[in-house]
Amino acid sequence: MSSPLLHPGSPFLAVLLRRVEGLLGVIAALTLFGLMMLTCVDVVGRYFFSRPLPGGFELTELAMGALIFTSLPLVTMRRQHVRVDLIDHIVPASIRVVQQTLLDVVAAVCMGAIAWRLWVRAADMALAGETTATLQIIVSPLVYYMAAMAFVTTALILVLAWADAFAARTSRATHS
Amino acid sequence: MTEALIGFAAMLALALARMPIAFAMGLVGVVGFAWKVSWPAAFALAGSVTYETGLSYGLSIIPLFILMGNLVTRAGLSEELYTASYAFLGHRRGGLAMSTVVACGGFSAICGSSIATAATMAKVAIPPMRRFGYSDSLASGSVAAGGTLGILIPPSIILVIYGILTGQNIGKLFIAGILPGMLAILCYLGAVSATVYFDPKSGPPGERMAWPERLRALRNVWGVLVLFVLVLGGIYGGVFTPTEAAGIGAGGAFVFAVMRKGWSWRLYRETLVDSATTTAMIFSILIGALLFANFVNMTTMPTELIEFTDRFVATPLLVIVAICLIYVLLGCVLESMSMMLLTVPLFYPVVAHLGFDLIWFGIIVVVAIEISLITPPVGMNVFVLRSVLPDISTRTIFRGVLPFVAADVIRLSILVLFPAITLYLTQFVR
Repeated sequence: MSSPLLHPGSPFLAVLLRRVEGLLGVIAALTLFGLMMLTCVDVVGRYFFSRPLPGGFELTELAMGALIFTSLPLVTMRRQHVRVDLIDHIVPASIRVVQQTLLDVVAAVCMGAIAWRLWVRAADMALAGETTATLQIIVSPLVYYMAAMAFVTTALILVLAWADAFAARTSRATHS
Repeated sequence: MTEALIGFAAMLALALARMPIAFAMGLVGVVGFAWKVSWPAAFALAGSVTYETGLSYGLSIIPLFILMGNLVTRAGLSEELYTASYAFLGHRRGGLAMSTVVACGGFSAICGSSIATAATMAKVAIPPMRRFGYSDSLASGSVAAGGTLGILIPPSIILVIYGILTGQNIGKLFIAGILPGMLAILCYLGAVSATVYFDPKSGPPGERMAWPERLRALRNVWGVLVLFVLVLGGIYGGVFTPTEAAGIGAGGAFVFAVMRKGWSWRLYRETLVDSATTTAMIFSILIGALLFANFVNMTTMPTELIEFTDRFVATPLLVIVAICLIYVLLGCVLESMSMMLLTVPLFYPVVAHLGFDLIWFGIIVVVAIEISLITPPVGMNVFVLRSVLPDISTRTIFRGVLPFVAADVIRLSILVLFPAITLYLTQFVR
C-alpha cells in the first residue's frame, strides 16, 4: 500500500492491464486471421492454380506458436482456465483465500519454469542459427517471443493472485 | 502401478483445490517424471512438449474449427436452424423440444463444441418453449442434451484430440460420427415423445405450418448445408486433409458472416480473440495432459493394465463396459477434455490389444463423455444452461435431462453391440 501506483485497486494498474489485454487481443486476432488465410490460400492455390503456397506448412507452424503464446496471457486475464469447483462451498472462506493464493503461486512457478525452458531453447536455437527448411526464416526470435509471453503470463498470475487476496481481505474487513 | 496411482491422486487433489486443471496435470507430470528419471530430463521434457505442441501443423485444425463455429454463431444461423426445424416438427406434441433437438444437431454439424452448442441454442430455443407453456425441465433438458451432440457430429474438437492421441485418421473419425449422431437425434426425439406421453402438459403442440412456409424456412439454412457439405464432403472425397478442411470451413464461415452481418472490425476482432483464447485454454490442457501421460508411461501402469485385461480376452465387451462406467464416474469430477486426455492414452493400447477397432472406440468414448456432460454433479452443459438462464434451478435441469440420459444409455448400448453403425461409412473414406 506504500506506493499508490502499485496498489491492487489502483486505476494505474487497471489501465495498464486493459492496455495489455487490448494489444495482445489485436495481435492474437490478426495471427488467427492470418492462419486462416494461409490455409485457404494454400488450398485454393493448389487446386485452382496448381501452385501451393511456398512454405505454407512452416508458416502455419510459426503462426500456431505465436497464436497460442499471445493468447495465454489473455486466458489468464479473463480467468478462462478450467478449474473444478466441486468442493468450494465446503472450505471455509478464511482458508480458501490462503489456499487460493498458495496454489496461484505454485501455478506461477509452473508457468515460470515453462518460460525459462523456452528461453533456454530460444538461446540454443539462436546460437545454432536454426532456420525453417523452405523459407529460411530464423526461428529463435519467435521462440524468444513465446518465452516472453510465458513470463508475462507468470507475472499476470501473480498480480491477479495479489489483487484477489487483497480484495478478499478488504471485503472481510468491511463485513466484520 | 503405485506411482501412477499416487500421481492420479495428487493431480485430482490439486484440481479439487481449484488449481487450474492444466497446471495440476503438468506439475504432477513433471515432478513424477523427475522422480522416475531425473530433474534435468523432466525440465527438458517440459520444454520440448510445450514447444512441439505449440508449433504443430496438425494441431492448427483446432483453432480453425473453433473459429468456424464462433463465426457461424455470430452470423445468427442458430435462429434459422431453429425456425426450419420448427416448421417441420412444431405442430406435434412436444414439437418445440423436438425442434430444439434437431436444431442442435444441425448446429453441431458446423460447431465442434458441446458447450458452445448448448449456450447458443439455449438463447434461441428456450424463449419460444416458455411462450408455449413448456415445462422448464423439458425445455432445459432438451437443450442440455441436444447440446452434447456438438462433440459427436463432425466437426468435433474432442474427436480431433482423440485422433492425435491414438494416431487415428481424423477424417475417418469425423465420418464415423455421422450415423451415431443421427441415431442420437432419433433417441432424443424418442425421449421427448416419452416425456410428453407421460406428462402431456409439459410440451403442448405449436402451430402447424403449410408446406410453402416449410420450404421457405428450409431455404434459409442453406449456409449451414453448404459449409457442412464443403468441409465433410471435402474430407470424405479426399479433396482436403481435415486440417485444410478446417481452414476452408473457417474461411467459408467468414465470408458467410460478412455477407449476413456486414463488416464490423469490433465484431470480428471479438470473435477472433474469443477463438484464440479458447484455443490457448485447450492447448494448456493438452500440454499439461501430455506431460502427465509421459510420466504415466514411465511407470508400470500401462503394461500392468494390459496384463490385467488379458484375463478378459474371452469376454472383451466386459472391458468396454467397464471403461464406459469409468467415464461416467470420472465425469462426475473432471471436465470432459481433461478426462479424455488423462484416460485415452491408458485405455487405447488395452482396447487395441483386445482386438477392437480404434475408430469405433473413439466414438464410444465420445458418447460416454456426452453422458457425463449432462449427469450430476458436474454436468458441464447443465452449468452452461444455468449461466445463460439463471432463473431455472439446477435440480429442474437435472430432472429434465433424465429421459435423455436414459436415451443415451440405450444409444451407447446399441453402438457397443453393433459396431457396423459407426464403421459403415468409414470404409468409403479416401
